[in-house]
Amino acid sequence: MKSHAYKTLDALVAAAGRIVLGKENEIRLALACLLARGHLLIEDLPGVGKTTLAHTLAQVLGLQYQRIQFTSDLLPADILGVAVFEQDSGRFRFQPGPIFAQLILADEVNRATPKAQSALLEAMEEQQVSVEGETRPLPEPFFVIATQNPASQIGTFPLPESQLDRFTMRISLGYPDLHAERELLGGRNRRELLHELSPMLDGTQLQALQTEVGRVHAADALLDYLQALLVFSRQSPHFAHGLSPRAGLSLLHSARAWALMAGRDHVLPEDLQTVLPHVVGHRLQAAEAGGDAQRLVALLQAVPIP
Amino acid sequence: MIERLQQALAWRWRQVERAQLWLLAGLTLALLPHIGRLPWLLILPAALLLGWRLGFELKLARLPPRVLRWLLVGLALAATWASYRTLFGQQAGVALLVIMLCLKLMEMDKPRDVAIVIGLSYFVVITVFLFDQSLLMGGYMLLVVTLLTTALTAFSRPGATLPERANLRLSATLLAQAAPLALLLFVLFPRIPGPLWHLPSDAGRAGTGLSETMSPGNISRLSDNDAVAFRVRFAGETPPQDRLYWRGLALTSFDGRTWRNPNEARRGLGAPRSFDYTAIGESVHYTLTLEPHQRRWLFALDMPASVPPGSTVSADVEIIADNSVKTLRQYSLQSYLDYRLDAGLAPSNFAYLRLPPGMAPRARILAQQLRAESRDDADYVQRVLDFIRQQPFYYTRQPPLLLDDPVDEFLFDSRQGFCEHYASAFTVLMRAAGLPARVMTGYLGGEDNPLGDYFIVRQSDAHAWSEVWLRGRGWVRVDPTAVIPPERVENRDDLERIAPAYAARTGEAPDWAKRLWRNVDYGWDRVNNTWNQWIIGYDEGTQTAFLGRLGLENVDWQRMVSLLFIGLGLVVAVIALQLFRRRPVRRDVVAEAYARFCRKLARRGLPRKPAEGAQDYSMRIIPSRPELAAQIQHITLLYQRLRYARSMPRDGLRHLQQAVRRFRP
Repeated sequence: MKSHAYKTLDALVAAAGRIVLGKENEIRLALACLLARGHLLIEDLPGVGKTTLAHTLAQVLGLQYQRIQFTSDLLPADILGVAVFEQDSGRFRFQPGPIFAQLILADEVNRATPKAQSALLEAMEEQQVSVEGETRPLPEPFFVIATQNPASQIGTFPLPESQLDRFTMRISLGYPDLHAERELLGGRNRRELLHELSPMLDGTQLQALQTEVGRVHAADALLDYLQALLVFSRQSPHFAHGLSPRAGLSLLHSARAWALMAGRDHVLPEDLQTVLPHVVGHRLQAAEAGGDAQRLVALLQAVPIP
Repeated sequence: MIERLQQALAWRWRQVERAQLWLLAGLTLALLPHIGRLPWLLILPAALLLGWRLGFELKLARLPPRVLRWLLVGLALAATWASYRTLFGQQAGVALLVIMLCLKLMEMDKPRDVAIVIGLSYFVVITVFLFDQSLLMGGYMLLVVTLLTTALTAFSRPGATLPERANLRLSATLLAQAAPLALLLFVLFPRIPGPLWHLPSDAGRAGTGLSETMSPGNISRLSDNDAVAFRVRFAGETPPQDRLYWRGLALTSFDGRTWRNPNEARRGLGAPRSFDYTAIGESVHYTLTLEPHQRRWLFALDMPASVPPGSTVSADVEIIADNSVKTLRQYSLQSYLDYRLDAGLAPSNFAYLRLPPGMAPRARILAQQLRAESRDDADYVQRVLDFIRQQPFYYTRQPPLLLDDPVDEFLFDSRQGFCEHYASAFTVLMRAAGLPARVMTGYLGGEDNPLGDYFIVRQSDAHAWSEVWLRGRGWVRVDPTAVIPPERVENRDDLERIAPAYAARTGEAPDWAKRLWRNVDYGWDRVNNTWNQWIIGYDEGTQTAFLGRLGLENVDWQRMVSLLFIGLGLVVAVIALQLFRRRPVRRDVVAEAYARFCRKLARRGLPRKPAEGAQDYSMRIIPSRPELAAQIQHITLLYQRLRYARSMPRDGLRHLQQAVRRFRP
């Protein structure tokens, strides 16, 4: 009964799991986010494997990979590209920036100025960039994994909520458990292993999977539940503001991808509940000062299933 | 081009708020029965306003601005005034309600407006029953009320994604819940003798049936009319059909063509006279249910012993009601088929002898001739009847047109006519010979409904005959039509009308289709009769009798009201209890079955948390009850597939319900 897509995806997760140790759930979430055509924000301390995760995903999925290190002096042109004057032809030629790749790792996105941040975020939203008055489409598929250090660190420009909303999911990796850490310490260099990893999909296969996600059935009863969640967030006094329709769509798409990865052709309330904290966690704000987004997620998770 | 227009319209149609469509459909259907009753001056604007609203919903038109709305209100008032010369009364009031309701559609945008429009639409439904209380109309209005209630439920859930069929089902449920309340109110609401309030009567409303004048062609026009005039239930033996002369109105004034009842002018002036007659033989008891005919006279079997309440008797022994009969009227009477009207006094009034001067000269000569040959008045009557029997007189439904002097032309030239021709000519011959005479109109015979224990008298049974005053015998009924030999009756069906006894002798068996149709007809009439008896005719007396049969003897109205409220309270409590019990579970059979499963587990101390999915729940409880793992997994999987998957497993619901039934933790 399990579909072909399920087998492929399971193999993908297993392969990635050999590089990024003990983080199978995070790998699955990242993959679900990608399959739902969303962008991913990883928020964590440096050195827990954010880059490795992004790189591994790019490798197993056979995607073109580019990394952009965000710094406080990064300019939009450093991301998008510039027009360069060529002596030979006497013309300007567009030199594409690192954004023209299928999978972008925007490392430490909160270190850059808002101007540079918005250049990236606009590209994410529009799937195209406008440089020197010319619109250039970005490659398909186009997937951004941005990493962010927790905002309490010094010298950062935290992303405003309006921009956070553009990320379908936010996950954090956390420290590896004892067993995984031991394996990491005792094993070979991850970088080397990564290069040995061969792509398991090509672009068209990935797009076929993304199409299949859209075909996963969401029954009326499930949409009732989803709407109950949205309505609750809008009516409860604990929330500064309710979930946006985009949040609702992100929830639905992520749950669909999650269901597909679980080998089902329909979404269950459990799928929604699994992706819920990661999809809404960065979009919620407590009404009371000092309120905790975690608590809001818990409130949402207590909404009865109709 | 046309295709694109169609597409555009189809697109707009899909955009229309469904609640608006329900309302427009309900309102239009509620107004339909009024179409024949209201003048075109109001019907057309009402239809236009409904169309305008639909156009607005399709985003093809805009609603009129305030100034135009005021103008339209003025025009509507003017049109109503122009049609009725009043704004009050039944007809004008209904017309005003209809047109103003349609105008309200022009400014309906707030929920308050919608509530007003729907409430008034319900009221339009009530006004329809002022004119027509038949069973068919009742059924039709039930449909209209369902539509209006659907509109109400649809409007009460703005933006709801409830599918239309669910909306319809909801309103049907609401009506079904209201049905016991309606039944209780109907049975127990105290009935007051006489109308609850007096409606201003309208003049000039046409009714079918006999009128207070009779000219050639009047009654023959009714001969094709199968409408029921009244129904009769006899208490004992049914008398033979050819003796059932249903007395109606006496026509005494003749202008050479038309017989008239002059009493309309006299009515209310003279004191009601009692009956002066000697009854012979047994009396007949019966209950008569008269269809509304918009006139004041009532019918009774010749000769009634008394008058029903609310009516008086005239000098010509007509029963005249105090008000015209606008709704079904039921009364019980006693009649004597054999009687002798008081013979003592010759009628003092010359009205019974008057003939229009110069009219019917040949008839006068004939009368004098025959009178001269006769020994006495009775012999003269016999000679006139013999004249009709011996001369080639024919009975036909299509008599030739009589132009100048109908009586003479009929008696000597055409000699073909219907009962009104015979009654008219005979009465003229009597008067010409100096015998006081008058024409009686009413009905003759009727048919027994074999499917119900009652008699149907139809408009086609309308009849006219004569009454002659004979010295020593008083007023004597003479039916000149009855002397025509059967071979001179043109249509065989008419035999049954004028002489039912002939038909019984010569009657051939009708073919099966005719028989079947008759039976259907009788069956339907029986249903209608039951409706009339029990629903429309449910008055104080019937109520007391019905409650008595239920064991509630001598219930006065105070007790009735308290019974009513107790009953209403009980019904509401039962419905409320049901709603209360059903509240946590949606009316979804799959969810219901699963909820039953969860309840069973909850009783064993393993309740499902409200926010817990079926999968998580099963995984949590299986470790505590590992022996049930297979059953729990089976039910959980079935439930998930049924509720969340695209394609349902075959017979999945049945399997789920079965599995839940068998599940015994």
